[in-house]
Amino acid sequence: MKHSIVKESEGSTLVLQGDLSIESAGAVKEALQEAMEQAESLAVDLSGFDSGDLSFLQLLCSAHRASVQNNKKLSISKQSDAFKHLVVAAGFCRAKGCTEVSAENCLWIGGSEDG
Amino acid sequence: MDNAKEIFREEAYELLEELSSTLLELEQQPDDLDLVGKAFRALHTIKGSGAMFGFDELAGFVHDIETVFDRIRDGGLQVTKKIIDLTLASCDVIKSMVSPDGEGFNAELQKQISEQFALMAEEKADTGDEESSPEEGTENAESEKPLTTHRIRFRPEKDLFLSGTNPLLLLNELRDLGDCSITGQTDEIPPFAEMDPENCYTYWDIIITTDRGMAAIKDVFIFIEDGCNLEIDTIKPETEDGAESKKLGEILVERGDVTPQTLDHALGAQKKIGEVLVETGTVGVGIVASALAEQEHVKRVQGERKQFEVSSSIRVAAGKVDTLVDLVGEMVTVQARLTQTAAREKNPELTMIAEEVERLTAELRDNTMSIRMLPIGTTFSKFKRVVRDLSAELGKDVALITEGAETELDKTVIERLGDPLMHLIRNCIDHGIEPPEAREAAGKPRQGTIYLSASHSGAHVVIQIDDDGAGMNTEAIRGRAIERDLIKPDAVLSDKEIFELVFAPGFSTAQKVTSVSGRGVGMDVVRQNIDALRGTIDISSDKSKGTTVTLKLPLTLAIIDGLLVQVASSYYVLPLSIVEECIELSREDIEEMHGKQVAKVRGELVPYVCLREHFSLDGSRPSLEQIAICELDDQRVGFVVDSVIGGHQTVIKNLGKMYRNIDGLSGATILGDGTVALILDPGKLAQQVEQQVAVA
Repeated sequence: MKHSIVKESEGSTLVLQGDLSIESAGAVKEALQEAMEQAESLAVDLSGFDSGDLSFLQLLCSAHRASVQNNKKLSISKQSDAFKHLVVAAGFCRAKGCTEVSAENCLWIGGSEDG
Repeated sequence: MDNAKEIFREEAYELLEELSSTLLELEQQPDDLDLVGKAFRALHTIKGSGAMFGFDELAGFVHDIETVFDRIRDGGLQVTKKIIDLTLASCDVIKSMVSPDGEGFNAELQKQISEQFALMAEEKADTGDEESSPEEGTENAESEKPLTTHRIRFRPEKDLFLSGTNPLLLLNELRDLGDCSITGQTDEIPPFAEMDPENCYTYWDIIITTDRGMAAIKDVFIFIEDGCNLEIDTIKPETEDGAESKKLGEILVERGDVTPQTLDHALGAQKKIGEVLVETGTVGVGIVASALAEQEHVKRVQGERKQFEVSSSIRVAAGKVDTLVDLVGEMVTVQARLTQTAAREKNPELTMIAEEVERLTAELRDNTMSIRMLPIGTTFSKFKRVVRDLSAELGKDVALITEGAETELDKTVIERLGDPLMHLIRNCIDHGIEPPEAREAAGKPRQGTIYLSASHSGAHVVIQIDDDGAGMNTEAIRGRAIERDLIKPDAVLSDKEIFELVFAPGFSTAQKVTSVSGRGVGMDVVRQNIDALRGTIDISSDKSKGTTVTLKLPLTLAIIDGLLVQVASSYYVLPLSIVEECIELSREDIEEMHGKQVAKVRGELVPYVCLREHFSLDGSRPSLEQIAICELDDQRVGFVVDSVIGGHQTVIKNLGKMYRNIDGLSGATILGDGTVALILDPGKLAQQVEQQVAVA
């Protein structure tokens, strides 16, 4: 796993690359934590996502909820096909978000079984 | 059990047909994985059903072949000519193993093929996770289960990841079982600061529709049974007859108590149950979403199932259909009698009933005949294999192109057509298509083409076999015919007449006898077969360009629409499909043509045959006769009769042995009053008269 934070005028971008599976879950959590603390609006760039598993999706989900609770913003700006497949495989695509987050503001809205 | 074996046999023959044609396609497109999958499925079904019906040896034999195709499917092996050849040879072995008396079974060949496949399967077996055969034999039995929908809640323990289990792989295994809607529930994921990234907090609601049964679903979770909470329920259809029970609003609208507009308004003001439950905090949005997904899934699956049920078909023994056709034939005869009686009695009520029965009988007849109709394509696909094997045997390169495989013909006609077509195609390859070198020398492509087509033409089906080979050598045919005393050395014959000579018994111009042809048994048998089908065969050939054989066959051999006519006290039936019109023939008309048997129809001269004279019937010709004008091979020929009675549903009965081979008659039918009417073969009659005139 490789990560970097790019600061821009409207917020920051966290670039996560490579294998984002359980082995790197701890490091990913730290990277997310750090990036969220630094910016009001955080975009996660997953165009370099090669592989990953459920642990990564859970982290993203929880990070998103935390930022909404703190009146911050977290979004996925770019995503690789491998990431899209992972979301579908985990059954995370949905039409409405879960209770903690406003129904229309969920990371997984809009995905479909077709990818 | 014997009955079940018979059903398996029929199914196996169909699967083998399908497998053969798939293999031939695969030979052309070896990288097409869809075709590999198709071949694999056919083999898998043969093996599974074989084991179920006690064909254990067969199941064992097919197992290795199936394994090889499985390897190809997984990319472990490549499709090669050897695999195609061996599998095609296996089709023949399987066929003989399935046949009731084991006809043509070659144990040595089976052993050889088995060894070859086992070798290929083993080559790659060490890299794969080979399944054991006894278990697989029962797989098909499982897939026979009806489609059922299950609701699964899969809640793994938090420490799932520690055991190295990836739950997403389990979900993928479920997807392989059937139509699946999976909703991952995320509401138990803790706040970011508190969460342990190495724990599993997600659980899933899954709706799956499968024919593999509950056991197969449980098998997916077998390795983490102790590490998860698993609930599996079967979702029952809403009502037994599949109809949904009505909602309150629908009933009120139907009764007229509220208008649809009022209902819409009321529904608009009302909050959806899901929203109410979420607002009160009873359930989470995710749970409602998964319940909605279940509703959607069940609705979609039910819709698909209904569609499947509508388009499904049943398998009926051919004998039963034959009996049905015979019964309809009898019914048509009795109906004719009823119509005749009603006309004689002049009872309006009886006449009305008779008319109704006539209409229903006609519908019943058409319906029954349509049941017997089959697409000719099944026969065509057999020939692809013949062409492939024969051309390889003779060192030729021949492609078979077929067209009109969907053309429908009576089952009996198709069955009896197989042999003559086989002869004709063998002839094309052996005599027609030249060896590749000779073709190149003649400026033709190395690969010869046989073009087999079928199309409808009125009440007939026209089948053409075209080749782009050397064409027929008229000189050689003529020489051979003189040698065999079939014609005189000085006879002047047209090309068409020379081609006719090949239908003489024992005629062959082949220099040497091959396993394919040259024995002189062939074309005469072809003609006999086609004649027996009341069809015609015609040859045209252009030297060096190729030969075309055209077969014209009636759609059916059981019941036809006929035109009933009378000459003296006898009745005859002409096939209505070729009758164009009926006109009057008076004494003056005959005198005008100076006694020549030709009538002037709207300026065109139409030759006619006087049936009274042709059949030497007693009595004199009436002063006003009728001519039924028929279209025969682009030529109009009339048949003079005393009177035309009208349309008649004609149930064809074969003539007795003594009369069977009389040219010009194709059968007989029984009229309403029990009288027998002969069915005429206008083509043959016209030919006979032509020959008589030529001799005179």
